[in-house]
Amino acid sequence: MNPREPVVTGLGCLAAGGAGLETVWAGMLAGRVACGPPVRFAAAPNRRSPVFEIGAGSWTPSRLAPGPDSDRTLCLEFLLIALEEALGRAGLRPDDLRGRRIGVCLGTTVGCTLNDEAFYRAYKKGERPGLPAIRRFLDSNPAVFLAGALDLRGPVSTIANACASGTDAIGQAAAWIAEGLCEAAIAGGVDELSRIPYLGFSSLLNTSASPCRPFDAGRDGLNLGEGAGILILESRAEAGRRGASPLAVVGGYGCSADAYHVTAPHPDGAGLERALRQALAGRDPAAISFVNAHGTATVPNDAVEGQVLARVFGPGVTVVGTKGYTGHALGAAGGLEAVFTVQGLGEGVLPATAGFQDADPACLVVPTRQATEARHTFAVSTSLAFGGGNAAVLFEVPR
Amino acid sequence: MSAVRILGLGPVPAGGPGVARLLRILAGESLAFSETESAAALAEFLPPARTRRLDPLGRMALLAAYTALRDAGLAPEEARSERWGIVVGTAFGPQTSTFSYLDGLIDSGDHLVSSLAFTNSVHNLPAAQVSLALGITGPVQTLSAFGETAGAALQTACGWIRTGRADRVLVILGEESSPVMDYVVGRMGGGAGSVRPLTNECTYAPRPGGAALLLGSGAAGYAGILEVAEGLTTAEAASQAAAADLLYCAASGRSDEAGDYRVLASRSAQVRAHAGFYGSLATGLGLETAIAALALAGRLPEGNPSGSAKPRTAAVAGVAGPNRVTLVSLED
Repeated sequence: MNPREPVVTGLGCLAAGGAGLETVWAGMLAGRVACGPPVRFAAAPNRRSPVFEIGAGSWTPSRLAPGPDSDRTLCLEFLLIALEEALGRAGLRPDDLRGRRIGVCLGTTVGCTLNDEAFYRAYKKGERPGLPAIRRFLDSNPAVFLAGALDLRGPVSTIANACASGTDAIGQAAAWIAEGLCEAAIAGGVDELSRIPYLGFSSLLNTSASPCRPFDAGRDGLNLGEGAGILILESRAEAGRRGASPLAVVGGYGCSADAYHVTAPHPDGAGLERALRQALAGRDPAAISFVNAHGTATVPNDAVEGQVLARVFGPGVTVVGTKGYTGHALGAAGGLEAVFTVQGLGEGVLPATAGFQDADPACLVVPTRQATEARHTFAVSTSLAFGGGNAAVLFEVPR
Repeated sequence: MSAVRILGLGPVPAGGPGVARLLRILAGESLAFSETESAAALAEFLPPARTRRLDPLGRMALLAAYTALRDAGLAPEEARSERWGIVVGTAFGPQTSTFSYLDGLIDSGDHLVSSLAFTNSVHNLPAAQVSLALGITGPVQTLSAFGETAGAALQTACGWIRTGRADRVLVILGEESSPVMDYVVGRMGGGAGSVRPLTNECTYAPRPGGAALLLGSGAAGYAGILEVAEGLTTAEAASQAAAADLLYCAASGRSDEAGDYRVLASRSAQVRAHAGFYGSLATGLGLETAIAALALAGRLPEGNPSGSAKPRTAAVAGVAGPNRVTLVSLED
């Protein structure tokens, strides 16, 4: 076996369905959907898209990196909560990581954008606002924060590839391990809901006024969400040295660009197909267990994605879309969906695709309608992004 | 694994793009940044109608990319490939669009925000614009991690080439300036003076700019092999930097005069001094690496202390992160 093969040894997540993978996964298998009007922020009455917001009472601050809570963004809180779970599942304590060549690669959008509305309003009025908001922003870049807080000495990167950020972060972290740049890495995605992207997506007319319906014939847009999905990746040698049992292998990763349009996917999906074939790394597509699709529930995304999945894997491929449980968590989406993919492989079962009811012939694939067995050895999670980015990551488990 | 070489440079320091411009600055000319001049330069490559709706960071990225291709002797059409990739590194992203979007929100209300400003404010839009313009369909990523940004971007590109994910990668490192950032920097005690590398003093002079580096394996456009060392402790990095050619130190003396680009030092005191804010700019490492490559190629101007580096075999550019330093070395 390749000692540098990247394996997954820990998973953690936080989403609208609750804190902790067990809670979130159980809710998904039970078909629970926590979608409603935004609570943490207000928006004009004609902006009515519901969101998948993490309720204030559903989480408690992490003990991983004690600090002044008022200075910490929600992004960082979410990150630490999911990380604490992932480390626990991997059998690691923070002290086990300190000073070691551990990489951090995280995807985000809101977490690396200076869009503090209150600060800017004051600046615009000429009030010469103080800098706490700026310092908070400067201290809150997810990967930089984590590397500093845990004294990690491996590569550090925050990937800002819009909706594909989390998937790309996992692929990049796996590449670091395969190249020998670090022995382990914390990877995934994190994001928090904010008025800024909420109104921005509304302006693009691609949000739905009701809970989203991935791949459904009547789908009419996405709902935003938030959360964190974190994976602990280790080289097979490092996991073996610790006696840790891998949950899965990161068996492949692909990424590509459409070079077609800044907000719409290429209608022929060639870029996504290339990313998928790279991630397959020579495996027989027909042997796939399932695809955890990007499935935003926008008309163009799901049609293009479904057509590509049918072309690569066959129209009967098992497809699940999980944004009906989490919303589109932007930079966190790829992290959350990777966590669900590994969980589905490990448990051998997938949830129904929440929101899906009527198949759309244009999509060519039909996602899960109920809890579905997943018995083969590998699965793929896909992401498509603003700017024409495509990413796919493949996980594999022994049977 | 293939060694990674610099095939072309696309510096966009002050006013306009190109190696010649950078050399003039290194020779002591004081040049101010000019959006007009940059726009005129970009019009050589793309019709203005194609770029007028872009954010300044997007335009800078395009200008840097086309300039690097020209420097490498390549026609833009040669980049139209799934074997080419793009990595953009920016610590602060498209500021003009970020604040323009907020202007619309504040001035016109929630229901009249600009979808164009929102789209352009997304960090990965400059990379997407380069991909669109050049037809690059390989891997495309945007990184934004303050002091880690530029080193991580170079490391990502080198990894893609070494492992065969891409044959050529455009690494584009840059920042915009904005009145908001000028205000912030002023409030933080910077902005008035120039940068004084390798001292314990640190003032901040935010300037827009950037650089593209076209990387690949095979025949070298510039002497040397690009390597990225990361995960170093401050002490390790300081030691390596001290032992290396202090090319950028000399160059940064000129930077003091020109005041239009930043060269960051990797001495430990400087690491601490720059760790918080503008030391995190992506532009610094891009221009430093370009200067290092020019030095190894013997192209730095006479009279500049850097010019004496001509026969030397290694140059180092460094950028400070909070807990580590990324070094880029060029070695024959």
